[in-house]
Amino acid sequence: MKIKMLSVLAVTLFMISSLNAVAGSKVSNSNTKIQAADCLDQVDILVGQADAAGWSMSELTWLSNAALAVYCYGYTWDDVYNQL
Amino acid sequence: MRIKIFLLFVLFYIYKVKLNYNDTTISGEVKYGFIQNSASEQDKLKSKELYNFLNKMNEMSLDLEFVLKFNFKESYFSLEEQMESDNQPMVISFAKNIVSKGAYYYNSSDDILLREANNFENYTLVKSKPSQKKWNMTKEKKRIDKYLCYKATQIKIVENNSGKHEFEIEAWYCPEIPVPFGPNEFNGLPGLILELKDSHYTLYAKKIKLYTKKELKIKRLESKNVISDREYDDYSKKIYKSIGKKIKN
Repeated sequence: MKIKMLSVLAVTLFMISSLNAVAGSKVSNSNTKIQAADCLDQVDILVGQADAAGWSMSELTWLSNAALAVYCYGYTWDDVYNQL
Repeated sequence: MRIKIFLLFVLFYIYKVKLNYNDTTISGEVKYGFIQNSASEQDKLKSKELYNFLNKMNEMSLDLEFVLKFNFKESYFSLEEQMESDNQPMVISFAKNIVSKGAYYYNSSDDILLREANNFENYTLVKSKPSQKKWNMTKEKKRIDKYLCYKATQIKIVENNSGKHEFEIEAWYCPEIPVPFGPNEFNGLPGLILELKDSHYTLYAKKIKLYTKKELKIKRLESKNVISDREYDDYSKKIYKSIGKKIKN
């Protein structure tokens, strides 16, 4: 059961693509644009640095999704760990 | 009578050959730890956010191990299953996607490498031929555990948004264990790879178990969805672009 849940979360992290839906559940609509702009800057910085360091496209995709979950969807790393 | 003696002799010879063959057949299991490749202080300063992120991941993944199982013909390399259930999902995902980029099956007779791709909805394998990547053999040597190992290198080219990046891959292989297997996608050397410096991480052997009488069974990976390296790269680019578009919208 735990393995299944771990897999689901890992796949979810990778496949998350509906930014608006999740962001909507975490922050009020009026704040979404400001928070999204800030968080996307952070994602951009992190992914830009990995890009310059020669990370492959699949690695950059993974990093983008992980960074989105933490910076934009309102999760901290500890939140992600404590989900289980 | 003579025929009987001759037949007995032949049977004895066959038995002897089979016995010797079994004695030299090697199976084995190697557990690898991993460590991030060193970076210059300048790079760390320039990419502070990235290195902070990696430091966090490294701290969390200290006890993770990969395992390479092999017999005389095939190998299977993956994150150790027990680790998957004992560790946090983010760290597992990190190890699978960044450190190893999937699990690998290699058949040395057919020169076929199959990688389980993590980022597809359907179970998909990426197929390639390791022999197409040539090693540069050197005379540099060092001991790893009790084994004398030699260094071989090859150039890995990664193409991403910022252009082409070249990495020198370093493999330390051990001719005393004459099987052509190693971690990640690296195979084809005249000895088992006990240490491998990949583009971002170095994998190093922590425990080596060799069996001379027991042959490990390695299950070949099977899927209806098999794609080439090229197709996988194209798919990765498409996915990355689609994420970028969604973010911008």
